[in-house]
Amino acid sequence: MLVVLVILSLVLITVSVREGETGPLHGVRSVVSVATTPVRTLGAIISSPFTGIGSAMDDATATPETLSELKAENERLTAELTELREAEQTAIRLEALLGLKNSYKLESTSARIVSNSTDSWVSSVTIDKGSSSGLAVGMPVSDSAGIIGQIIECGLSSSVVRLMSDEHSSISAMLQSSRAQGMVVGSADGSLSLNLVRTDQSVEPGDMVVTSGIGGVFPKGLPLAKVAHVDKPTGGLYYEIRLTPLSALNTYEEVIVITSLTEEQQATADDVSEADRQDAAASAPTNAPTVANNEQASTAESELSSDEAEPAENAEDTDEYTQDAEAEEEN
Amino acid sequence: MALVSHETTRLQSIRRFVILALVSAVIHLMFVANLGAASGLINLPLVVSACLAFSLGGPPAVLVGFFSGLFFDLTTTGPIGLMALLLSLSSWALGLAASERFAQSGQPAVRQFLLADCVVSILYNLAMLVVSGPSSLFGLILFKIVPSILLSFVAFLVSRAVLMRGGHVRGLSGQLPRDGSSKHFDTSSN
Repeated sequence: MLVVLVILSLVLITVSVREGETGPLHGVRSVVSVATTPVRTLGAIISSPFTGIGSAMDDATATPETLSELKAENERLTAELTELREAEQTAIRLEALLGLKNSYKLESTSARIVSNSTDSWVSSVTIDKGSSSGLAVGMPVSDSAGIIGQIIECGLSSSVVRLMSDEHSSISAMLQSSRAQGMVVGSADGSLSLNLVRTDQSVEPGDMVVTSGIGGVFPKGLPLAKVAHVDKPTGGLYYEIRLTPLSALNTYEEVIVITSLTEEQQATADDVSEADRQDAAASAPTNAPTVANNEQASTAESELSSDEAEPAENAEDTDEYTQDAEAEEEN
Repeated sequence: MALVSHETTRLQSIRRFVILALVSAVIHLMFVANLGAASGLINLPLVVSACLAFSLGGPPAVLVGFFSGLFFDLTTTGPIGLMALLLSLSSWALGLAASERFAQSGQPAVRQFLLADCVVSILYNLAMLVVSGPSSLFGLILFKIVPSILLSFVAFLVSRAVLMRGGHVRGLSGQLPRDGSSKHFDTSSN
């Protein structure tokens, strides 16, 4: 019995790893996910009153209603402020070439978080929409404050979203003020950091970090996090930057899944060139690529596939990044 | 007459087992995701399969371990079959001496569960490390493996206390302990 089940398990593991997302075993998992969604949802509803116990203890002087209203208002205003700053900077740099337009004309589908991850390996949440609603693996997911992650598994009526705090998550990002490019990565303890930002760039605590749009997966300019702490290592090429996420996820919250991007929301070939130039400038003095450089290169390479197919038609972004490059060269 | 009685006992055992499996599955889906410390979560299938392995022993314990693990695999994002493999092996190991250890007032069952808990958690996370790519080993141990082990251990202690209090150790298997003694079991509820 034991031998048979061990062999069966090994066969399942092999098939599961090799078959990809469309194989029969993943189909079974998808069916299980659909079948168990009502139970998960019920659990989330039952658990939701208890998730706020910790914060209620910290904020005993205010009523829960006031706190939740203020929190919602704060998230809305932060997102609005980020959007306005992004639009303002774009308008200033591109002067008459651009009209003031909404950076976030997102084509999206709303969904609701129904549960957290049931294993400790992946920081993820399950949402109540799947392929039947037009969702697919890879689509970015955002809440009212900004990006929260990306779909990694998509069933018929539910999807698993890897949160950006997961240690295997990395998102191309840039600092809104200085336009310095980097990668927002998660960690095992759930904290966020911004990697690969050169020490000759300007970074201050409180700076907003937004998506760079490189790769065509995440829309350009969506808020990700705020800079919490900046450390400049002696002789180091890159800052060590810790971030504070903008979203405080609770289960049973509304999110939006961004289903497609317009051309304005994608980074241009010049954006990618600028990222490469920053990386090359950082690695040049050492004459030896670091692990971090390799990671960025591989990420950029994997995300480039969609960019390579599209010519650099967005003159706005081209000019924007040309100016950035000039400014950085002056520095 | 004895045959009918034996058949009735067997059916009752199966019914209890199915109910326990369903309740465990529902608890796993509803609450485990919301009960965590650091990035660790309770491995409820391990707890359930261990309790039943101590009670049942032998091939049934291995079967329970396999299907518990398979359920875990189907409700998570890891490779399907990985936890099934680990829980099959752990249930087999824990079921070797079966019910007498579970019921003893001493600590052998607790120690052996803790060992199985550690081995399963470490092997699972290391396998995931191989499958998922580079990760911080320190973070993995500190924030995932250790909290998961501790939470599962606490869940096991609670489950064990509940099962022993209700006399379900015998009731699930429908058998007395292998040494024939019933002194460790409260059979009044059966």
